Amino acid sequence: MRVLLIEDDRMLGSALRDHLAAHGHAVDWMMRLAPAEDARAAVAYDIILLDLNLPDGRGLDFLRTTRKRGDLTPVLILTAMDQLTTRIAGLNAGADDYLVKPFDLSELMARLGAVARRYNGKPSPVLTVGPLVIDQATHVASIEGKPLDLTAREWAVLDRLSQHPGVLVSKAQLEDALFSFGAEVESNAVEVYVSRLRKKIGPGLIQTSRGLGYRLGPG
Amino acid sequence: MASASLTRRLIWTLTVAAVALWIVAALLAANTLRTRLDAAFDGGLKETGERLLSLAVDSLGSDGDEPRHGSEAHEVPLYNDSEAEYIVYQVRAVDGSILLRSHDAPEMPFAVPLVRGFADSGQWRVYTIDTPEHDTFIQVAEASQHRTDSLWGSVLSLLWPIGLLVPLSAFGIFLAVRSGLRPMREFSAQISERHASNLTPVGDAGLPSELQPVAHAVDAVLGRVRSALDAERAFAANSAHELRTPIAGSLAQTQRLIAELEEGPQRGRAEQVELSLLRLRSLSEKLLQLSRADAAISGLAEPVDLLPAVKVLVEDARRADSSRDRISLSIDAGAVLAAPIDVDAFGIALRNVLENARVHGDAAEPIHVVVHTGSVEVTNGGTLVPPDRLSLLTNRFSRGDTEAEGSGLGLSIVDVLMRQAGGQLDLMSPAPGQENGFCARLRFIS
Repeated sequence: MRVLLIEDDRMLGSALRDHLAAHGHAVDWMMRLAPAEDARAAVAYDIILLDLNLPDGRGLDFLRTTRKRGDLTPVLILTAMDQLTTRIAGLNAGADDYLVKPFDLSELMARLGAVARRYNGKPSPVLTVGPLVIDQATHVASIEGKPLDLTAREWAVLDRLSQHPGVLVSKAQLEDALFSFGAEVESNAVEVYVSRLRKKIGPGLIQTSRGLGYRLGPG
Repeated sequence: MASASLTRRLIWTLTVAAVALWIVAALLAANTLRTRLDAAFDGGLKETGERLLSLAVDSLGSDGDEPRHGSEAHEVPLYNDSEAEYIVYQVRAVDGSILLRSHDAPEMPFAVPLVRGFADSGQWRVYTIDTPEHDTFIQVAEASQHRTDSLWGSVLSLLWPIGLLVPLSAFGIFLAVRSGLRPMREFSAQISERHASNLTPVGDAGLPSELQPVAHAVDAVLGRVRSALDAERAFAANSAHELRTPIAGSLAQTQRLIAELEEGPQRGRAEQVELSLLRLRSLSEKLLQLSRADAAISGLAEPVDLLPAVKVLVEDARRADSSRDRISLSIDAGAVLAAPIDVDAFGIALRNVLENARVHGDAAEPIHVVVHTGSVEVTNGGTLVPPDRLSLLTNRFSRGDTEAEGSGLGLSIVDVLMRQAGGQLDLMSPAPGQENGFCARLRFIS
């Protein structure tokens, strides 16, 4: 997933960025609202992780503006303010979930996955495509019960494709899910990861529409 | 020592002062009256003397050519002698002998010289006047007792209203004081309504000018208390942010480190650090809640609906629990849960009670959250808590007989918050209707 992380604390922000990247997500980490707003306008993020107290404004205002512009990107609030009223205000402003600091990274990942699934209309974290079973909660993909050893990037490609099985995902969308701002992207990077993935899950589960993109599902 | 009643003191002081003033006024009036009465009576005496003199001389002349002397003096009879006379007269010759006297006049001559004018003779006030020939005198006398009686009659008529005046003035003063002190009573009631959650200014609208400086002083004190409490609450809220963020950073970095390290002693040490950070997180959380409870955040002037908060908090507890289905929520039909408590304070209270049930209850048994009108009950399974230990659970840093990790602060925080909102935390073991287990009830007294 392409994640927009808005967090002004360096120690927490860097740990979150690394953890998300290690789980195959492409993370753009912003420490201020202004660049975060620019990034939000430029990229179709899969989820936004939003701190509420930022040096140049309030996260709730950012959230309200985002929703006012018709942007329905899921937002998970990360804040040190645990008051019920703040939380209810956050949810009323359009947040999808709310996590109070300090939190476990595993808890964050679970919430992140749940919010993303809810957004995609898939309440169950387990998806089955032919012999392939993808558990988005545990980040485990298996073929006929045997877990596959996927790298973070390979998982990211599979995760992005599995969000809408059978639906065409463009190369640009896959690049967005794989790489954050500033990352050096080889022109054939997507093809490389799709090729590696096909070798692991077997041919015939990822279809190529030449010049258009890729689709998860039997041919 | 019982405090003196201002009303009673005012009634006493004003009544005594009014009576004293009345008496002084009556005495002054009596003095003036006496002077005026003396002048009036003297005028009457003089006029009577002057009128009687010619009549008496004529009378003496008609009785004979020569006036009679000494014992021959005769008494003028009365047509009606049923009442005693208070004005009498004697007609006397130059030698002092009585020639004629009125019916009630003494037989002996008045002991005053035969000199024109007024004189006092024991019990008589006497006016003497003589004929132009200076051979016959008439002495008209009035009994002094008559004057005294008249004076006292007048003075008493001035004094007797005091008997009526005392109760009437006391009652009047009572009404006046009561009415006059009404703004003070209202002002006092307004001040007594102020507490940690209501520190709004009292204001001086409608107050008499004497009380306005007091109202200003009270408002100044309330303002300082409000500022101090706001500062304390802001500090508690800011501390939460300032403390949670670095703990969150440290915990996330440590968990990243654990994820990146291979199995081995270094990873073991990192896990120890993570464990310490988790303990620190839990303890700091409780201390922050305690500092906010101590900053009196709980009570509100008006009741708020708490049912939405209960649903959110139960859902939170379910997500935090390893077994999501362990926690059930049931709400009595038509139950109303509204209380004058800050929603965040209620959130802290119910979250602690739920956490207590999750952490210290039997993990294999369900947790029931039941909402009745005016109360929320959280019941969990587990062994009995003895009564002596139960009563100590709301003490700070007091922990039950449990293996589970806990700060010993949770129920103490709940107790403080509930009392601030005028409610109560009831702890029961066994849980009602069960043979064991534990029940914590947040009860709001209507």
